[in-house]
Amino acid sequence: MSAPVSTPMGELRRYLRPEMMPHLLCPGCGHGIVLQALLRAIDAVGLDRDRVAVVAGIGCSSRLAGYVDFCTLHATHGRAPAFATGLKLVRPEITVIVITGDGDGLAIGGNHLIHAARRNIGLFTLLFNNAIYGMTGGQLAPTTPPGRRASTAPAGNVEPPFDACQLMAAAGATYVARGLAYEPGVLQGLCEEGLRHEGFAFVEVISDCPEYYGRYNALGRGPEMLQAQRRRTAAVAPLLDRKARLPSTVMATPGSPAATPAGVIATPEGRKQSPPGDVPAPVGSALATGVLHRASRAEFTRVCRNSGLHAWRSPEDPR
Amino acid sequence: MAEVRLVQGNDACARAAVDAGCRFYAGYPITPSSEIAETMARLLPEVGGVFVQMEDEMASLAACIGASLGGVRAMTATSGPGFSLMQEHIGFAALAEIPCVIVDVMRGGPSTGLPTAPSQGDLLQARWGTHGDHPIVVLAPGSVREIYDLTARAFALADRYRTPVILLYDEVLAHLRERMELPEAVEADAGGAVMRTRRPPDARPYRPYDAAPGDVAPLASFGDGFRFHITGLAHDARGYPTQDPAEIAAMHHRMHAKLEHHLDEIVECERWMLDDADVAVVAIGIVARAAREAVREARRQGIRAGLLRPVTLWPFPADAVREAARSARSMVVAEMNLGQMILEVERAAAGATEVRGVRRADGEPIMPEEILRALAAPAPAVRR
Repeated sequence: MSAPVSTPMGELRRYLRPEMMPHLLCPGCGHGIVLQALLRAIDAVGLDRDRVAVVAGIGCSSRLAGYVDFCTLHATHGRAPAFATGLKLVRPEITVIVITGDGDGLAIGGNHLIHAARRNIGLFTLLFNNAIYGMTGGQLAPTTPPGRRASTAPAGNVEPPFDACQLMAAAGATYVARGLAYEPGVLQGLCEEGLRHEGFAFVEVISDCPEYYGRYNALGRGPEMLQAQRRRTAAVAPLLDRKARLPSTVMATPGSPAATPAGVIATPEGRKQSPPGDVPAPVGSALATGVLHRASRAEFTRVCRNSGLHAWRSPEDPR
Repeated sequence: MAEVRLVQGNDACARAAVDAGCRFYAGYPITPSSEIAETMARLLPEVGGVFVQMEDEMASLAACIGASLGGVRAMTATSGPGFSLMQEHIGFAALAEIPCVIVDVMRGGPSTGLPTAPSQGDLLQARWGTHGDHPIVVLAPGSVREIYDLTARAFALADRYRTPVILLYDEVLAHLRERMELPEAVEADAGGAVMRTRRPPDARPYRPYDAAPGDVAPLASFGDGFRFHITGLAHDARGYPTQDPAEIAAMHHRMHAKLEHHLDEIVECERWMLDDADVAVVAIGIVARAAREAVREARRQGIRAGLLRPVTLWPFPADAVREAARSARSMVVAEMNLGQMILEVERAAAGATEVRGVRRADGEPIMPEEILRALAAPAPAVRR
């Protein structure tokens, strides 16, 4: 992974819509850090702003689509991958970015996400996981860890959570990574690779919701939550070096040149430390971060184009 | 001489879409509409279009909206349960003002109902199925040839008024095979709001909803140099979310006025033998064909009957109904449901004449004899 290119903060402002400010994120929310990492990645990759579309669903993270100066589509709850699929199929030359949250992408929109991954359509999907529904007031999400409280789980969650990365790798995504709001530089690198990837690229970012999840579970404010998330995760590359993965969670696509595990990584450190904070992960194990899965498979719009199923025209063609 | 063929209703719909410039189709299999998807899957690759089978009907319409924002004419087709699933995105397309065409081949409902049997049970859902006040255009063809013509017209209206257009017909018409002259050219460009141009270098900031009431703002495409925001939230002229009551009221007003100011262009209604009619039948789709037969037979029996057939179902041709209500002694609304269009006819007639219903929702089409019986019923006392 190349070292993140550092764009001066002032230069990032040109990617924002000042007339949409103030934004609606709460103090201590990690989503703004994530957006900055995404914009830095877009800048580093050198994308033409006119040829970038951001398609988002509903929720705190999805509202970010309105703040960035690209072609932006703030769609319906959970359905952003489907809107994005239609757009990408007719305009494959556009870089299409899907912004979604854990409730948006894994609950109401889970079906669209897995089918977009299955098709391996060239969408870069960034899923903000804060383990709760923030926009609607702190309800239980499909990523809320067992035992944790939410406004609709006042006695603690009794459901097991989804592992978004395992789900995406199993569904057919050809680039799967997990990053942290706590590590924007690393996250930027993961996004850059995802933006350059040809095929369905998925990055889950662990972010925080101090206002609801933090408050309901006495996890402190933003900084404490983000630090705790860092302590409860482990970068996958050094762990792989020590071969400390659980064999049962390894997922490799047959024939893939660089298949790596997307599963939960068991580390002695993770168990020992067991910090007071929390991340959306099974208790007692660390959550793997970094590039978790890579596979090589034909991208969907390219497949369509090669089969003559395509309305693609060169950007220079009059329409 | 134009080519003459035996064409199925659903087939005519797909052919018309391609002839009208539709280059994107997203759908999900459902009886009795699947032939449209199957025909599109065959035809679109031949013209450089895209066919994609999506994971459900919500995704299908979502993909169409995405493709439309990419600057391509897009269509989906479905039936009852799938039409229910599409409602949220019909609302999105109406509010965001994204052109698209939705075909609903009506089968018996509610729920899974009667997958292979006809109905006209979605007349009000087509108008009011999505939440909130919204404008919509719904066309109701009455023959295979008219399915062809109205499909092409649907694309023109969608682009002209930046609106979703619903094509509504029943299972009988969908699977009916009729002799049809294949048109050599289709008039699908009404000239309209959809821009197919790139951003001029010195252009002012593009505002996707900047139009006076009655007008339609031009719609640019993603990727053509215009960077703009589209949202399902209430928005201002720039497309940015707003909670300002004045801006929200202006948005609603403009959204509705764009159709209401152009009803003469949008609303189409067939009047047949109505001039001297004592009794007027109001019917659409396959029922209108039974009604035509009933009117003919009634005339043979000395009953002065006529037919009023809404071709545009929504906006409802209230003026034509009102006029017929004033000249006829009674009206008969025949429909394959338990009484939906009759509510609108009664509203338009406003008590000017007696309105009776012929209703059927058992999976069988209404027969001419059933309508004839209603026509032959004793005429009510004249109330003028």
